[in-house]
Amino acid sequence: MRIEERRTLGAAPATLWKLIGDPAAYPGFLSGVTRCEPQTKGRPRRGARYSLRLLVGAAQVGGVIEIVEFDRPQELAWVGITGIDQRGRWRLRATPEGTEVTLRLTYSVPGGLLGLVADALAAPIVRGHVQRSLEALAELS
Amino acid sequence: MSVGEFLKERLAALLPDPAEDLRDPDYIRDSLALGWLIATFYFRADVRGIENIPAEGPVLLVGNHSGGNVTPDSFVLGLAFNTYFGVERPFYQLAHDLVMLMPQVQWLRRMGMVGASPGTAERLLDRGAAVLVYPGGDWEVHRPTWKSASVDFAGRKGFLRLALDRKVPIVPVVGIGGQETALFLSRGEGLARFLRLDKLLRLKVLPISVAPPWGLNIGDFVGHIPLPAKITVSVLKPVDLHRKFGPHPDLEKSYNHITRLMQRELDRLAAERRLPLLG
Repeated sequence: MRIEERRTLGAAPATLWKLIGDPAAYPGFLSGVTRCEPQTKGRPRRGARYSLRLLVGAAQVGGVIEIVEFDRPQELAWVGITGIDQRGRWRLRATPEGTEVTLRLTYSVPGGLLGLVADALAAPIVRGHVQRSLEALAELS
Repeated sequence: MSVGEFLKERLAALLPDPAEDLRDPDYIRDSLALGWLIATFYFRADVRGIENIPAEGPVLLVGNHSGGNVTPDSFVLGLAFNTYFGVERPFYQLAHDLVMLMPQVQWLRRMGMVGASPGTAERLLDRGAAVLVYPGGDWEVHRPTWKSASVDFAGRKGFLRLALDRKVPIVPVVGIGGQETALFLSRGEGLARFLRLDKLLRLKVLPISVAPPWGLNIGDFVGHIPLPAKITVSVLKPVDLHRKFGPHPDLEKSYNHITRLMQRELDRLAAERRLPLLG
């Protein structure tokens, strides 16, 4: 299941990157994220790992994620190493009005047919988180 | 050999080998979707403080128990644990011998359920596992519905000896809502004594409830269909008894401390509830 939301915000990409480029700060503005703790030393970079949890319905799902793209101030992507299969991506593109921000979450719940049902029923919850996250990002920037 | 001894021997032979570990992380992973669907949409489960469980190492989770022989609180906690820490972290639930005889036990054993026989919990903790125990067991889980907001371990202190002996922290887990999944009328302890179930099966109770699909349900031996009550589970901060009470903690004081902490939290959760079932 892929959830994607897009907003154009007034701030410049470099300003937004200060928030987006540090996953440890995600619990402060990403809706539903209950923790995102560094598992590797040093600054955020490609290969850095974090322990991330997202509250979806009755469970906090997630696991260890690894940053696989870190292209300041345009693109940050991660994949899940443990827990359910998941990927996430931030895309920042400069526009005359400021920045077009895209947040994309892709996930797959194991369990065959029931996994597909869970995927579909979780989608509105995850979409709500993504929408609120972009709204929070707009307020913070 | 008396009839009682014969029955006891026969039932003991039916029990699965407690040393046999059937927990299967891949199977648990494949069951997460079903668990999530039931917990989210049927029980509208709300789990708080799961992050209070130490991130690694052996730990003894101690819960109050509700819901008869179908216990939604342990089901909800299991889902929360496995999604939060990952199915790779070993997590086991101790169960009464009678539960180990139920038809769905193979499924439960693959989820990490083990018989609460002597030595089992010690062995699991020594392996670094998180172990969930319900000291109140059959006594607490069949308490009348109107005593839902009451922690009742019946004075059982084995969990304290276990934690002290293995030097592991205790994490109290408090749940509410399970006792609304059926109308629990009586533990039937007099009936259990009359039938000598306490001697034969270590059963202090022969519960009487009203539950689907049976209507009047005596014994709850094969379980029932739980009503969709809202389940709330609160995980409290770890308690290190040695740090709290010194090198040789008094069992009575430790027992009172743990049960008081849990009762206080249960009172708080009960005060939040407005309507039966709906929460």
